[in-house]
Amino acid sequence: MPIIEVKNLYKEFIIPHERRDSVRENFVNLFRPNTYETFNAIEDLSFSVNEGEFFGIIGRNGSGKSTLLKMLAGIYSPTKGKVEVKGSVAPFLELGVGFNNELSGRENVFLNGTILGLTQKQLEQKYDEIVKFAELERFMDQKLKNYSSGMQVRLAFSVAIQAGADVFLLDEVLAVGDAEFSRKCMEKFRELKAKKQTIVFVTHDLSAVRQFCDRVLYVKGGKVMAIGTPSDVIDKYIYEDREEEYKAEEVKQEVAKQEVTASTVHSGDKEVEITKVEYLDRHGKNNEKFISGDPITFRIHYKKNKNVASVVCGIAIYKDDGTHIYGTNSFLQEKKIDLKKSGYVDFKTDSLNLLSGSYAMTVAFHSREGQAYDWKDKGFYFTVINSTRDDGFAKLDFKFDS
Amino acid sequence: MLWVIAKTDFKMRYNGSVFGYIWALLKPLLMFLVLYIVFSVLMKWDVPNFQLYLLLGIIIWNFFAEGTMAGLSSLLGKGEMIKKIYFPRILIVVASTLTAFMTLCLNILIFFVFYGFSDLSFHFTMLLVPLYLIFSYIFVLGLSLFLSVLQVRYRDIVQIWEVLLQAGFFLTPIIYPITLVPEKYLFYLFLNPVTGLIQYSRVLMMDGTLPSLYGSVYLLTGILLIFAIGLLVFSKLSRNIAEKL
Repeated sequence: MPIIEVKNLYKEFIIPHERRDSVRENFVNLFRPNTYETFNAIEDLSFSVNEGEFFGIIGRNGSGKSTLLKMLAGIYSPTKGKVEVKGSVAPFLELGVGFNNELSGRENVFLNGTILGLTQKQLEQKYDEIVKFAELERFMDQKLKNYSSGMQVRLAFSVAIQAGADVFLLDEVLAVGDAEFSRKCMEKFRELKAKKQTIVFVTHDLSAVRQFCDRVLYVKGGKVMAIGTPSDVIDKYIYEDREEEYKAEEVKQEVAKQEVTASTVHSGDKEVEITKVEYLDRHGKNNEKFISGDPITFRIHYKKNKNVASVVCGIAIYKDDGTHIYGTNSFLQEKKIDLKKSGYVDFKTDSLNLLSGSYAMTVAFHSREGQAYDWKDKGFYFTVINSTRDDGFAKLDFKFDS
Repeated sequence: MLWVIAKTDFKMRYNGSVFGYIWALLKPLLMFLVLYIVFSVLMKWDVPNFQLYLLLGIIIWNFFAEGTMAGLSSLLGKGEMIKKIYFPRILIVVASTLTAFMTLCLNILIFFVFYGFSDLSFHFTMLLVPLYLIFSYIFVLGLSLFLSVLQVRYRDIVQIWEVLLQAGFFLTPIIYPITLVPEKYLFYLFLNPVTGLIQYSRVLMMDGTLPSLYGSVYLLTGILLIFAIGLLVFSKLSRNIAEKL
């Protein structure tokens, strides 16, 4: 049973070339009509969400995710098409709607709760639970302006979670609060999920999407790119449709490379110089995000500036906290490098056995005796996204059996 | 929900100052004092019970001016809320005008205290006064609905409205007795519903007679018409309000 139905939805924003928002300006320019552009934030979008579903929406910045969510919440009205939500909606678009700095925490709970659709009686019943969840027992009679921003967010979240709505709309709410609190939020979400609560969840955190969502919608340029199970859609999100971003990406890498040379430990006399390091995904395309368990190739481009007696090429991979995870080189694998004037060497694996996280890589050319030619210490980064719900960083693939 | 927002608004408006709620009552009283000194003591106007006559006029006008100003800026002021959550937008305007209405009711109570000290006696027609106060509220709400959505679109509506209010203060028989107005201008004076509201309340309150039925029907029709127009414009323009804020 679909609880949310979106059909051929369009949202057009009008962007006037000149801002005229007073009677005076409109009067003065009575005979000079304003020109404007239109911007289609949402174009012909259709999908439905079933009751009890944990539905994820992903997409890059400016793809129309938040506009879509605001339309589901009823804040924006559609230009064309239909948005239908059967039941009440509790939006977490931003927390703390209607919070007032001059009022005490207690008064704000009542104000905020009322706006979210709770009655006075319900609020009185749930008040203790709200305060306990926010861990703010001692501060409830203080004015909100004396709260830290973290405390405000906690209070707002606690109120919002208690609103007994049929549909929850969450926009990047996992990014708030300290580690302990976000762990509690996650737990609350699991609880809601177990209770078969309908939840629409917008985020950039792909591992959270994989962990919670039953189905995922991938939006790009206001259009549906993919809709389906998390692994299918995330796959598409990561590996496909990178063509047009390719150029921008290259520029970014160029910048990143310059920063690398400036900021990281970098030694050697450049007899053999590393000119570029590429990460190739399973489609042979340049990428910096990979799904764990996928094939990956590190392609190291070099330039020979001087003849050398011996050469070894090596890589080392580190966790973002600096833990050394892995290292190998051509000498250890008993391979010889036939140096050309310039060219590349590859390190390949059929299965990238790392779990979610960002990783740093050191790439080096050195002599057999260990004298560095070009040594870029932790100068390269890539990101891995889980394909399973496993925890940790090494994908060891234990299978449960009983 | 309406009640909670209105209550918070009311509290916020007067909480910041030492006098607290007293400000809500003191404002029209101070205005009354100044005007009374000018017109009664200095200019020696001879109107029976001029103090009460003046006070009632000021109280009702004050409600009209404050109510419409609050209503006018309500949508813009609560913009952050509108952009984040959906609820019927009309509640915001209703709540902000309701805040002014609460002040009006308190002020009317004060008026009765003054009345008690005067040598005027109780009239049964006084019981009809609340009806006219409700008429005033509908009028203020209708205007506020209209003005508040326009204010979002045209930000200088508030300045224009301020000027109109200032002019209105003198075009309404508040400080001067209506008997001073030449007969031929009376029609124009009553085109302004506030004139009717103030004048009929005075009649009920102090003369103890019923205001003309014809005039009351005319007044109510006008008020309902303005309310309907306000509601229509509001429902039309408030649809896309979140984008304009």
